[in-house]
Amino acid sequence: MNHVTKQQLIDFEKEVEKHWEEGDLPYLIHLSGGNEDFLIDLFKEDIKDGDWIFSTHRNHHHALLSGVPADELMAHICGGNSMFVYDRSRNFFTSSILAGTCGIAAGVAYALKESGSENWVYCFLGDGAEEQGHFYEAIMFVEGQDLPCMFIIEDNNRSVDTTFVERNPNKFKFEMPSCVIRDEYKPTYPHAGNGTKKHIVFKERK
Amino acid sequence: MSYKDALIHANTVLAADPKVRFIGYGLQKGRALGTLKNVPDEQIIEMPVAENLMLGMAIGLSLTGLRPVVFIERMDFLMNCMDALVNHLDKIKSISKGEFDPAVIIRCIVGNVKKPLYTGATHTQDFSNALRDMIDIPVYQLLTESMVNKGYELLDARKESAILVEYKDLI
Repeated sequence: MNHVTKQQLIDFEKEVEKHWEEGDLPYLIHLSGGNEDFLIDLFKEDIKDGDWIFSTHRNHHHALLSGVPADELMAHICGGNSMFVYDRSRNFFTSSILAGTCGIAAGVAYALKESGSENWVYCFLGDGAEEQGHFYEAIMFVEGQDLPCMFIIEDNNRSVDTTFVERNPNKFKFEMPSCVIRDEYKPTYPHAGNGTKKHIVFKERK
Repeated sequence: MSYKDALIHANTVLAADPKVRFIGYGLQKGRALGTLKNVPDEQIIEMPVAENLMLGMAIGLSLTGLRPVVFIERMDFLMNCMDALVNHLDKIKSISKGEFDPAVIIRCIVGNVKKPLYTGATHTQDFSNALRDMIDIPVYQLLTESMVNKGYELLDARKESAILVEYKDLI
């Protein structure tokens, strides 16, 4: 589906980072990085035109790979909407509430199946959202109804700033059904911001 | 016409639109206290007891062009889907700058306090005023059969989200 390269994804986030570090973005941002290879393969091999993408607060890579033009996305981010990227023409939807999209994704998938569509729904979440009850409600329903919906856990071993073993010393995880896949990766950036120790003087909100 | 007959009539009229789907648990057998008795089986989506999933599902169906009606058999249980209601259904149009505009009707029943079977403090709460402070979606308390008729007619015409509060003491 996509024609975006790994370097273009990396460079885009570097540009956002630059705006942020220069104080141009007095908004909360969550930069993507470290998961480029997995995402490029997923969007190239599995995700087709007309499929629905449900993304998260960390959505820049997903948006670019879904076909949102880089200049449009950058303008959107610079306008304070990094966490609120939506594009109806590309069926691209986000929510910055952890696991908030899981039920909505199930609903779209239900309608697609009922209408006989061949399109699928791809719902991204992190390993923090994986611990939300709303995720389990949705995957149990999707698996039980055989809905065309795939949940992708982008596992960066971080729930905000807490590692898995710090929040779950026994390292307990459920065995996931077939509607869930996982990509473990080492993130380039911290949960929010870019981790700089520099004192940033942010401009007034536009 | 009784209050219950008004609800049956209103939901029968809603169901005439083939895009309408009724979402809830126990609906195929219980038919929402009998109020969906004239609704075809194929317009009912039977769900697990997972209220946030029910409302999330409804939002998703609406994004594809369907018209969902969610049945919450006690308003107390609406508390289990506050994320889908407050952070999503109520906000999606504004935070997406109109890219997505879901419309969901939520029917909530306030449990009976004047007649058996009595169900206690967690099955009889009416959160109408609290919700009005939290969300922009209108909350209509349907206290008479006339209000039932007007409330449903309004929604059928406008095709917008709304919460309909119905009272088991009157059904």
